[in-house]
Amino acid sequence: MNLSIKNIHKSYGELKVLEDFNLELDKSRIHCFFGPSGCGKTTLMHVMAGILKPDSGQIIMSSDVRFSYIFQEERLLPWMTVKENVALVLQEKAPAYVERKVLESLSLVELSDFSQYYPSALSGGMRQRVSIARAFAYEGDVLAMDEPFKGLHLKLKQNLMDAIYKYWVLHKPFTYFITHDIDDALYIADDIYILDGPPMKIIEKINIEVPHELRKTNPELLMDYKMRLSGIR
Amino acid sequence: MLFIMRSRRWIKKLVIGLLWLALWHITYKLVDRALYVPSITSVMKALLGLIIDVRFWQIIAASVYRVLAGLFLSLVFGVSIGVLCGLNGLLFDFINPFVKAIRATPVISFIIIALIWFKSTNVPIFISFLMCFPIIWTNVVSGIRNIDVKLIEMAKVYQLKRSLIIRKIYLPHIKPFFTAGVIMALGLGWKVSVAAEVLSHPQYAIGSNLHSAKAYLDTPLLFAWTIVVILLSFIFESFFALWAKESRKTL
Ligand SMILES: Nc1ncnc2c1ncn2[C@@H]1O[C@H](COP(=O)(O)OP(=O)(O)OP(=O)(O)O)[C@@H](O)[C@H]1O
Ligand SMILES: [Mg+2]
Repeated sequence: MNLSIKNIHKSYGELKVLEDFNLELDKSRIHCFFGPSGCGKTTLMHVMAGILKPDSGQIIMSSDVRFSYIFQEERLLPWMTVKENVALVLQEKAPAYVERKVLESLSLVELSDFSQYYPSALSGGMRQRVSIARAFAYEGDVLAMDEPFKGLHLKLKQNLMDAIYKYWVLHKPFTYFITHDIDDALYIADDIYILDGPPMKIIEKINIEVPHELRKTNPELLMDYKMRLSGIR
Repeated sequence: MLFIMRSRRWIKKLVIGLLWLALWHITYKLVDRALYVPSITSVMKALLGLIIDVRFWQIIAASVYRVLAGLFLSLVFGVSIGVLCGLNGLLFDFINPFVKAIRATPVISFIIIALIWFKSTNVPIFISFLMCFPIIWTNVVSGIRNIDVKLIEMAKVYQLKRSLIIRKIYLPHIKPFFTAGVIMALGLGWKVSVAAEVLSHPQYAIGSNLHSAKAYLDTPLLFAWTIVVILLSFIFESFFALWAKESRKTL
């Protein structure tokens, strides 16, 4: 399964955010969108997930895919507890399965002790983690993440990225994410798209050829890439 | 400590109440015509006379039933049509002028029309329905329109069923709007229902008794019945305020 984005146009009034935008994503790699604020990354991801209808153009992928989507904002229901928020996306499943999945993903984001809290009683980073837990529990065919690690502490961030990588190896979901953090991008991405806009353009595509297993232990292997990425803008 | 503060509040309330009674008494003395302003004792006597009669409680029950029946109908139609209108702009445009017209029409016109259409006991039900419906409807519509579209987008991405979206997202979201509507509707419904009873004379009704007290120029009885209406109104209001507070807690 590949994902093709063909001749997409999307404007907000006069502002052309996507103009004849084309992109082919390979399922066997983790993709990262990297670019300045306001260049159209969120818009692109919304179009890809069918949240936004493009003015014209096509998104080609196998039909009926399920999206585990981490939005740029948390998008939690304020009247539901942490646990209920995560369980909400598992409504079709058997109760025992739901219980297990919810606890599992909450422990992954280190929120087991807060399962009965309401979102209003959590910090921003904690709410972000609930949104991550929800995406994980859902186990979609696509893992779409819009700045998933913002506001998170380095250690937890690394644990989460390790977990995402492990999950990716196991389930092979279609995985792409947006980040503003070079180190995050270099830690788990295979392909980094350097973007600019609007209208959005791909300035450069960088393939990271360092095996994931070595990135933690031998960070010096990433140095070259880091220099290249830092040089941009 | 808490107890002392509470009892202080009570004392304050008691003093204020006594002051108003004193004002009533002074007015009574100044006017000096029991037909216009009856004495406190005569009204209390009339009230006591009412309460010890079984018929009184039947009357109260009948009147309360009518208000609640009207309110219930307005809830059923207000919520269902309100949800649909909140979701569908075309339907909203269709229903909106109708609701506006109801709001602009004087209650008395509706009562007179209803007298022609319905049995006397059903007139107040219809009137309280008609007056409460626009309030509930408006609140539900604005609740639905106020919803955070980002939450709905989230629900759609995660492929939640439509019924689930309505139950878990729309309904909890409109709950505070709905509660505010019910409290408002209750106050209004009670008043218009009694007014309708005055004109339609059901056999058991507070309004019918207000009417006959007036017909016999029995001012103390008129006052006594009015006090009953006010008290019931207070009881209703505090009951629903309590309910609203509870439901906010579970939110
Ligand atoms: N709903 C909207 N209505 C009008 N303009 C919008 C809307 N959403 C986004 N835009 C505009 O589209 C452009 C791209 O926005 P988008 O959210 O895709 O940027 P982004 O790359 O995700 O930025 P960031 O990194 O800050 O999240 C911006 O100039 C923004 O003003
Ligand atoms: Mg964005």
